[in-house]
Amino acid sequence: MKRRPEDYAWIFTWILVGFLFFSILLAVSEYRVFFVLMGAFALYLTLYPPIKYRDPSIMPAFELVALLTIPFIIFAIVTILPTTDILTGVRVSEMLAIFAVSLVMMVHLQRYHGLVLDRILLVFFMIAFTSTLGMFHTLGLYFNDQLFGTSYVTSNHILMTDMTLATIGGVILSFILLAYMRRQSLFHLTLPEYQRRDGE
Amino acid sequence: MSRWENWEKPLAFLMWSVLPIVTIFSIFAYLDQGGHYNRVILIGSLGSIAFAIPLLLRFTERLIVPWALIVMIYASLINHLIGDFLMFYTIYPWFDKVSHTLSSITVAIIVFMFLIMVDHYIRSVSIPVKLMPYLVVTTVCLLGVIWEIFEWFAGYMGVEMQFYLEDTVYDLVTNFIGASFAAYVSYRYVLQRGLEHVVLSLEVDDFMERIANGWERMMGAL
Repeated sequence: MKRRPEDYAWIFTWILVGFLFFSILLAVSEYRVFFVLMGAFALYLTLYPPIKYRDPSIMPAFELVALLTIPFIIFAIVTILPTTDILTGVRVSEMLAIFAVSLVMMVHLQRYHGLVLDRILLVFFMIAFTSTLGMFHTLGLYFNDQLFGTSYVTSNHILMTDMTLATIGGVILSFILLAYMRRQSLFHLTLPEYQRRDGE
Repeated sequence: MSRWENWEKPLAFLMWSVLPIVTIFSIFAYLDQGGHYNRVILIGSLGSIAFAIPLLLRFTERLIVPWALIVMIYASLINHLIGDFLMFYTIYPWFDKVSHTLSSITVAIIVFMFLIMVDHYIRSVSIPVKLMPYLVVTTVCLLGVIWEIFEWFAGYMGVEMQFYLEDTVYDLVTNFIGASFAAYVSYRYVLQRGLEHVVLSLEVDDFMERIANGWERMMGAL
């Protein structure tokens, strides 16, 4: 069978995985607990298919892993070059990480754990995941302040703004996911092996 | 005869008797406040209706609401009424956290029931049992966040419902703890009894078939 350029996408996906590893190490050295946890979670979502199927070429779709990596790229740039300020830096990348991880987790649960949802439930749980992750993130920052004397969440207004933004983000994200999944099948999103098989 | 069946009649009598007590109590509270405290009678009346719903559903056999859930609904409502009538929310700051925990346990059980019914009756949906606790916790957390956002916006409308940062934080933490506890216990219960048995014990076949058909027609139209 003649191979298409997209059959090699998994190699680029592995390069992004390498970057995720690097980001986790960077987050550990900077004591950024949020990015360590989110990085570990992103790695789990990315490495689950190749480990499950014992095949390094079976990776999630490149665009999903790229989406997972974007917040970590912003985090790395802001950390390595402290004078750089992409929008408001780390806080924006934290919010993007919440959105990306929620979206990929939704795809992951449907593809690998037997979850089958219709459109209404898909929208609902997408919002629920994003909002819950946003809540954990904000509470994590609050307890970080209490334990280590930082000052991320200093008022109720900041706490509520963060959670409201995460929930609104979840609403927007759910419609993006819905539109995306109408165009692309779950197989396409997660298992290039099946695409090849489909093409044969 | 099962253990629960022995208790069913006295438990039902006890619960029905709460209805007039709450109504009478709220009328007295209303009169005692010189008729100015409309909120008391409003909450009392709504409370009475809320108390009646699970029992009516059970005895009209629309839905066999499990006794554990009925007890939790009663516990949450009674706790809230005590907090409001006797001003416990103001006197004891921790009382609000008890309310949040009880309410999140109740809501988590309702969400769990909803998910197992959706999984069973709606053909286009499949929710593995092992994922249910996570979905229940995220749903209850979402509802908790929406409630906090509502309280926050109410503040801008002049109704102060959210007081300080720690209060909001521990509301969310207690919601999460209550939801996790209820999700775990419900999950163990379903594992022990079997999903099929639990769904059938709710005796909602006809009712849910109609809902499921309506749901699927709606999905087709979307």
